[in-house]
Amino acid sequence: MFKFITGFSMLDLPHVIMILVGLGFIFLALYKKWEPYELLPIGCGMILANLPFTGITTQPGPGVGPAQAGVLGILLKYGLYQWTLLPQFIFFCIGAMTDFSPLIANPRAFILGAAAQLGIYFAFLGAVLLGFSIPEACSIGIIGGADGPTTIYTTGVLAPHILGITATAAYSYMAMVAIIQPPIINLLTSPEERKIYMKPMLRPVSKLERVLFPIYTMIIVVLLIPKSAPLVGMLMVGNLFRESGVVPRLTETAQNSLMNIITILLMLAIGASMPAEAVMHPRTLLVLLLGLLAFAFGTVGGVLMGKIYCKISKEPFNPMIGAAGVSAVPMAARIVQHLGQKENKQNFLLMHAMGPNVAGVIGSAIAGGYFLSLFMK
Amino acid sequence: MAEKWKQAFEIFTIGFGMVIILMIALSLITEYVGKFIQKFEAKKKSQSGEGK
Repeated sequence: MFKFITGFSMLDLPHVIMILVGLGFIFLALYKKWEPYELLPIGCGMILANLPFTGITTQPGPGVGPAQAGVLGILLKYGLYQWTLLPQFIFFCIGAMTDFSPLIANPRAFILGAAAQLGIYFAFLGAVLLGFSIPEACSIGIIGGADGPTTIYTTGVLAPHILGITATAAYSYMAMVAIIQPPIINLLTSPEERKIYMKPMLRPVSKLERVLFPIYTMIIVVLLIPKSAPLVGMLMVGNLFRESGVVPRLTETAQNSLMNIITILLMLAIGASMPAEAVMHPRTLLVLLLGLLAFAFGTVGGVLMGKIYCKISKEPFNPMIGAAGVSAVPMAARIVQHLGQKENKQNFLLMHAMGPNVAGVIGSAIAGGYFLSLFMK
Repeated sequence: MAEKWKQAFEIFTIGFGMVIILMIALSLITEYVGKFIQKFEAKKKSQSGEGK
């Protein structure tokens, strides 16, 4: 009798493995401090989704009344799969938190941010080669944008069945930027190039420039790629709130309370989207591998463009800065700063690297918008 | 399969090309808007200086 009223009768090996993976995520968040705001709730959601008989991930629908639907099921359905509200609002909050001044002061950084999107398209081709469908390949490629919300939104629309894996890959690899990027940067640049000194300060950016930037960026990008509006549009609206200076309460809410609330809901839902049935599949390993390749090729694209700049620029230009174009704000920029300091103690590359870093956020959102425009009516 | 590869290659070239072109356009616009505003603000400053 005990066996039938508890969950033990349904606890099979795949679910136990997924519960252990969830515990692993919690361990990484707690003791390694790897993206704790993301990995802790993802790990909890994963454990809840794999414990049997809970009904917590049951989604509302025909034949499933409000009393039968589980809280994580409701989040999954309305937050991610059907209305995809949560990642869009995260973009609004990120806009309210982002300072685009380093990019406005040095607009060349846009091109470094664009080159670093190479990883998205290489991983996309790799995924097609390995037999994934085109929408799945788009969702896997976008991991290379190193941007969690873009990955979640694009996959939620194009291939929701692999959402948990792509989102987890994006956040996990972002946490591992310090491991993934330095060997690639060292391989592609010489010690002399890494030593190149750049003046630490960029020009000051006026308030008018900072206010106009989100307005014209939003209009131009959304006119060219209308389906990027939920990403670039929301990002720029959030940024306009911040830079306008006239709605400090709304900006403060977006930067703190709203961001925190949505992070809790979104990350729990992502964890909940990974029951064993959806994840314990050989293709999951391929998705993780392709995501890693996407990150690596993104870094390669950025550094190679940095090397071109280094050759043609009149001012000294350190090619490592291109690596920050993979977004992963601000970790990728910090890596460049750290490597620069290691080679030349006089070098402060952080502000220079922040330009391509925030340009990468716009670049990956454009890439995501383009993928969506191929399949959304 | 050939049709799928044709579509994938199109997505690769058009998609990556679009990101590059759009980012170059944004770079140029930001550069010119920045220069224009700097000139405009310098002019405003010098005019208000003359007024004093």
